[in-house]
Amino acid sequence: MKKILPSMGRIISMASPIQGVFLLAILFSMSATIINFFNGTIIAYGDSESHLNIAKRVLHSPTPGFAQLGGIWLPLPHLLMLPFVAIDTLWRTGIAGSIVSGFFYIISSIFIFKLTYLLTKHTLASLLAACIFMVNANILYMQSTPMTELTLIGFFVLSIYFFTKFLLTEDDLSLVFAGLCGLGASLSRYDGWFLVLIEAAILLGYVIVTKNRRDELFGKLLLYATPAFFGIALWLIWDSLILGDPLYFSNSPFSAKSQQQGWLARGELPTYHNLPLSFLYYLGASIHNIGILLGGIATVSLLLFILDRNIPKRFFILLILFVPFIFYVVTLFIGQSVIFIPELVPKTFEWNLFNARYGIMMVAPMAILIGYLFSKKNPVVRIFIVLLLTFQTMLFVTGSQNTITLSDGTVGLSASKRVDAETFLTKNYDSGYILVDDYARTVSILRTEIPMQNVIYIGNKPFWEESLKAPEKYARWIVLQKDDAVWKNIYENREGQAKLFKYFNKVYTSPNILIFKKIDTTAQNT
Amino acid sequence: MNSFNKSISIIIPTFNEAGNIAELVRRIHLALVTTNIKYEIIFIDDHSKDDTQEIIRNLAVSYPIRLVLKKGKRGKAFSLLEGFPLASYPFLAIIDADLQYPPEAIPYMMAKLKKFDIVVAERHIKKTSWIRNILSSGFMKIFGGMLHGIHTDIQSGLKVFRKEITDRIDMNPSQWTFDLEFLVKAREAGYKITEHKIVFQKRRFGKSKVSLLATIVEIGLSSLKLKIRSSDIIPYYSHFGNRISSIFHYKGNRYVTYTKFDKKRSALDRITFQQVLFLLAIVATLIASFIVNWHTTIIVLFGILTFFYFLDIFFYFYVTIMSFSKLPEIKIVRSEMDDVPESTLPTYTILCPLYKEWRVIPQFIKAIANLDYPKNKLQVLLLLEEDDLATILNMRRFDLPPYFHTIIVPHSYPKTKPKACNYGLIYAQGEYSVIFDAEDIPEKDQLKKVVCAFRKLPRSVACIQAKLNFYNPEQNILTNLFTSEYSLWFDLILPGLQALEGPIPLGGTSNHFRTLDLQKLNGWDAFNVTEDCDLGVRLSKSGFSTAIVDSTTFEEANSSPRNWFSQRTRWIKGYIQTFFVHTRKLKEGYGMRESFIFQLVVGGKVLLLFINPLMWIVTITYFAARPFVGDFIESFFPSPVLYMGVTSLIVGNFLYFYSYMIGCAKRHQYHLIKYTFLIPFYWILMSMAAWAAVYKFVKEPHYWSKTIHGLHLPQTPVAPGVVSSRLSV
Repeated sequence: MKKILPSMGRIISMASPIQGVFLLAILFSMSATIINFFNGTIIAYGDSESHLNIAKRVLHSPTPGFAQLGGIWLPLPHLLMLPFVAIDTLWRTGIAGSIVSGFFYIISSIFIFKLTYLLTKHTLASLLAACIFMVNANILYMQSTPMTELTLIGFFVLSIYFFTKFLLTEDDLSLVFAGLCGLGASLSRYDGWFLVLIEAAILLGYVIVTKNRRDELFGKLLLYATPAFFGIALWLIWDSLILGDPLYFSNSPFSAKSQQQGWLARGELPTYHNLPLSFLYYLGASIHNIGILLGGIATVSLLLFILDRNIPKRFFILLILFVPFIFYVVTLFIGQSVIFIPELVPKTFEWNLFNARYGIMMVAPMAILIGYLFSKKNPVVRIFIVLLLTFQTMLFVTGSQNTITLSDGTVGLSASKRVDAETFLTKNYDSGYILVDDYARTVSILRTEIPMQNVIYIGNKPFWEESLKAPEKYARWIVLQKDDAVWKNIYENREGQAKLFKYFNKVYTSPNILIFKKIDTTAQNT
Repeated sequence: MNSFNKSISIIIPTFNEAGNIAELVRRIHLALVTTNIKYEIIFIDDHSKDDTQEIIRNLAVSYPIRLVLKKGKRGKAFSLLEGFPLASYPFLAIIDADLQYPPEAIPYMMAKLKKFDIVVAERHIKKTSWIRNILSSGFMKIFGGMLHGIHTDIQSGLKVFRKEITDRIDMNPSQWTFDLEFLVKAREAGYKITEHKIVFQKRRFGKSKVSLLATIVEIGLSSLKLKIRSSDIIPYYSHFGNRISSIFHYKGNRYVTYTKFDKKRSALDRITFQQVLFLLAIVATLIASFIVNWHTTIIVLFGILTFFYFLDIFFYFYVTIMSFSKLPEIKIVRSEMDDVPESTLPTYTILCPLYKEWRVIPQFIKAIANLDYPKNKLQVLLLLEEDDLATILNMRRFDLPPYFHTIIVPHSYPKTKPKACNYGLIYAQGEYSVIFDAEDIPEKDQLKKVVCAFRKLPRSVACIQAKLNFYNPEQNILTNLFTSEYSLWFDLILPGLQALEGPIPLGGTSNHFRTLDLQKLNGWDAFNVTEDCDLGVRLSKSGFSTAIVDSTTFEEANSSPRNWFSQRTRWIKGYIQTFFVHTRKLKEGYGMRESFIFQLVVGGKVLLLFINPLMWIVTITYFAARPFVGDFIESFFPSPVLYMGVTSLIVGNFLYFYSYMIGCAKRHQYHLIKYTFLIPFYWILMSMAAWAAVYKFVKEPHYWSKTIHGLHLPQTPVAPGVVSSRLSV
């Protein structure tokens, strides 16, 4: 023991803080993923399975190819999952997505350290900021899932790190990297579009204000904007070429906007055209995600940061740190997104927990601000912050404070449904194509052991279209959920129904789901 | 007839010609004595069984005759080869001993040697059988005229020529194939051939030794062999000394290179026979495969091209990353230069080849005078071309500083910059040497920086390349784009290649050498029109390396599209030359890594110019006419090829295009960044130039299409911006 301790000390002293953050991040990431794997919560979110399936279909589908990426969700997280979903086990367990999220969790942790250090030149403060992010229960849960938040957080932190470095040093290479990371962000989630827009707007502001260096700054703006907006341009072109509408991601019936119209119609979109409520909902979501104690101290840090004249370009830095906050408040206000959190949702609403994970985007900026506060040479404040972090972590660990992202995925509206039909299919599916409206999330393909290359859904033209007219042509199995596309096109269509009962046997019935299996004519003849 | 040609050695091969010898000697004597020509007759007797030898010995008492008994292989050709070294006189005649050729023609034929080097007796009137006449003229047309372009009576048994020809050319004939080989090789050695008409008589005594059909077959085969062999490089009087030994003939042309650089390793031959065979094998395979299954062939072809494209993208991306992450370029700070005592600075030779660009001379004088280097240690050699009278005359108008020297490079071919540089290198006395073009303006501390860099770098670094950029980027859109291209190449790609420690294609100017190293490498390949690129590769093959120093030479960006196109065509042609030169022996002097880098940097750079338009056309056609040709085009792209292709198209083109922006930013040319959006049009021009380069590579591989300089001068008499500040002496 006497020998081990000094050697460990030597190893620790040899390791740089970044290496320390790196090793800790790996440790936390793997631990959290393993725990969630055994808890069965990796694919708790309905969207988790959809992300995995989109990636899987690019490789394995009746019609494999890039077109399977679709035109609504941005493609980069799915592209990054491709090497992993190729392995069936990683796809079915969701670990294919956890690897991608975990990777960006590690990157984010390192660059939160670097960004805090860039602003404070204080190693301990930077370590603390990284730790706040790393031990956050919501971050740890989301980094175990195939959800796209951590991918965006990774690119977001990278981009603001390089952009801040550029603001402080005017180093062109940093601007290039900021643009390239902006490209990654803009191809991960639509929040990324707002990030590159704000960063470009800051540069444009420089061009307008600085008259004597206008040519130079305009060149820098192009240097940044070219990669940063390249992803957006590509996506518009993609939607235009593949789906015939450059704004398909917004205009499609499957888009978030269309879904929000449904909430609005039901009168359950409280933030719509209500700025204070929009602000309050997102603030609530943010505080939920970082934890009430740290949320409070982050607010104090923010005020001190605003007043600190020693930080050059602090308003620009704050502006990019608060990009997610502004983005969500604006989108809540204009009805492009919806968040339900229990404390704020009226009791009359059917659901009181939905999309609370959006607040996770503010964990990194708040961690950086708390790191900034820690860097102030006040031992009392430092001890207080460390204690708060400890308490907050304990609150999460003990369950005294709810891990809201997990709750949203397990009991909230974001949770995936588990229906009895899945059990039936797991036991009885033998072979052949299965026709199912996967957009309606009728049954989980992941849990039913059905090979993805046998699943016919709306993205498999011409299989899908032909099957709706002649269900017997390809499918051996047909799953109908009340009011889904298969139901409407076959079951509610007289001719379709006739064919259904002519060629298929109903093998499963539940209040909402019917399953048909093709009649084995060979067996009958013999 | 004057005293020009007064003595001749006549070589006569004999075999059982006893009946003809005496009269032949008598007629020769009569013909030559009456025309005051000194002569000797050398009989090479090929084991005659009649009285031939006896008769010759008797005649030798009265005439200047030598009889040589054949030692080597039997046959006329070998007799002649044995006879040539025995000749005492500067002119030679060969004549058959059968009296069918009139020896009286020899004086007339000698008279023609004033203007020509070989005179062939053309059998104008043939008093022989009509079958023999038809076969003979048919032979001449097919094997001489069509195959070799020699339109004379090749097999004529009477020829008069200069003896030096037999010294210079290596002959390897069979029994009856001396004549064609002799004429072909003599012509390749630069000798001029003419003919003299004679009456061809019937044989009076003895029998012909020629079996007509067998001889024709033998000659035909030999003619084909001659056609497909690689031409000889024929040195010009090798015993005249080192300097002149760089003169030689090749395929009839006279070349002077002023270097002992091995011609077999130069771009003299554009492509070797083995390379031709390899290319033909590829084409044949493609055609055969196309006939068998055209669809699959196109799929495979697209697959290969796409894979290459894909590979190239990642390589260039990697090179760019390396240029940032390793920061390989050599930075010398002011204090390092100040620490070097002036007395310890080495002597420096600046080579400046000039051709029809005297207008930029004042700018060059100023730029060199402005260099922060002791002038007593500078030797500036202005290399003027003998046929450039305008520059030579105008040079007198300029008040050249004492360390400037003009050297007139004698007019000769190839007319290239590397040839002039080789000539200059003979006179270089500096410990270091550098090439500057006449329109160049190097940064004033460049020489000192290079000296410091050489001193702190390992001995294996034989060349230090300064970066090149332009002083007139604002002149027009073309100069904008050209400048951004240079910024990419010299500020991103070359430092990246240096970091990879691979071969670096040098820039055309501002490459600094230890003069001794350069001399050991035998200077430049005078036949390569991108001699800089070739030298960079040779340096690497010789175990040397090249470093990039953080100093810039400013040049004139080509502002005229036509001028740019011609320059770019030459550059691409030079890259093609370099590629073929250095792929003759793939493993020569190279490891796998260096070879791979060479293939991608030199071969890949050119190949991309051909692939690019094809890919663009396919893509544009696909999207523009998708309803009509969509399925057809898709059928050529199976999934893996499609994904590589799409990635190459989107990521690749974006990265290439964006790297121009980064290059501009690295050089702080922010005002040029906006123009890089026009780079795709520039690529189209480059692809057009690439096709023109292929044409030029075939038609005129060594032709140096001169770039016109000084186009910036009318608009801006003194170079603007950066230049004007640097020019204040």
